[in-house]
Amino acid sequence: MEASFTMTLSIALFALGLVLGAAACFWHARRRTAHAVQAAHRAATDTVEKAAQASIAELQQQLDAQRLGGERERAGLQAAAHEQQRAHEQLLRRATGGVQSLRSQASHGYDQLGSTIDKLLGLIETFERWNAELQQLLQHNREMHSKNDEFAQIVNQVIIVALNASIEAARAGDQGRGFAVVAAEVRDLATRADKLSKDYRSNLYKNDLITGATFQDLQAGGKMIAGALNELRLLNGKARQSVMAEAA
Amino acid sequence: MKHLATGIVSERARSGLDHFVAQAVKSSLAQTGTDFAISPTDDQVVNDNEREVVMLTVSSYMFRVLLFIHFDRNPALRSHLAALDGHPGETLLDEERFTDAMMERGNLCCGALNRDLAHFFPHIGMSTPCILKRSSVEHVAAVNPAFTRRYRAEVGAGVAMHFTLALCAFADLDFPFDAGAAEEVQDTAGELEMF
Repeated sequence: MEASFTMTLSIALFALGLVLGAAACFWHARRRTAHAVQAAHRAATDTVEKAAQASIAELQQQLDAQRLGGERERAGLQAAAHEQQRAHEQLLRRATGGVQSLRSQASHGYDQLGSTIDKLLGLIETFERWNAELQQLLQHNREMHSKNDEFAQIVNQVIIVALNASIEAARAGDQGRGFAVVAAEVRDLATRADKLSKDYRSNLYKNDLITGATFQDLQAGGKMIAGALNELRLLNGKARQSVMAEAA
Repeated sequence: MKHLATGIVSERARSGLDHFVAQAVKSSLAQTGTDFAISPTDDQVVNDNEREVVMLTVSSYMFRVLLFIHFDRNPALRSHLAALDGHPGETLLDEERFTDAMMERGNLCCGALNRDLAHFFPHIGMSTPCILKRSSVEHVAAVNPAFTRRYRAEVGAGVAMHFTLALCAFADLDFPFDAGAAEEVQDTAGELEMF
């Protein structure tokens, strides 16, 4: 019994020893595996770290290179922009100067034109003078009409006198013959003078018409010119205003 | 005497002038409310009583129009002018006032003609009036007109007046006067009896 117990105990102890040995072996193997895994992990981590660092360094280099390139580009663009701005400012200054000069020239031109138009409009006074001269000429013609009428009356009187003289000469018979010739001559002269007076009167009327029509044509033509000048002055004023407003 | 070149005046332009004269006479010399009639009259017919004329000119660089308003210093016309000046029943006995009134009416008449022509010829001008003896108008050929016309108008009850138009054209003259439209306007107005 005791031997069996001992045997059983021995077997149990042996089994225990086996289990413990197996456990120790497992633990040891596991520990080695863990170490190996750790080592592999470390190695892998190191490799990844190194690769990452290399990538980062490379990226950093690329970034630096890009930054440098960008900075150079920016500097170039800035320089170009400055240059362009300077050119624009110059152009603007030139254009502003040109506009000012143009404005000044245009203003001067408009003022000169306006002044010339104003002076030309002074010719309206000439029309007044022409009108006064027309009245003077017509008055002069009226006086000539009047003198011609008086002359015509005298001629008529002479004709009557010559006729009376002819009658008286006829009454005187032979003694009045010479007187009759003179009376006939006087009557003939008076008749010619009468015809001349009538022609003269007709010409005076014609003269009135031609004189009056000519003066009126001058007057009306003058007003036509004055009207055109006024229109020109108005247009000049409007053009001046619009140019000044545009340049302002 | 050397005359300036004379242009041809178109029929349309002649009709236009007839119409403008009629309108001008109506607006300046006709009594409102009385029948007004105007028509061209025979060139040879002269009213011996009308011994004077008011002469006026409308000028352009292409033509000039001379308008002669014949008048007589008779009581009927004196009363007519007084009525036109807003004094009906009166008679302008004062010669100076009568002359001034006649010149003023002539001025109005020519002004109306000037305005109508200005629609077609922007650059024209008008003279001041002057008075001549009618015998002067008989020499109108001396200004070498391209077109002349005499008109007789009834401007008031028992008041008739004569007008002479002479157009000197320095180039061919034509303007787009629309006779049809003018007649329509007359019909609408209902007073102007023309030709």
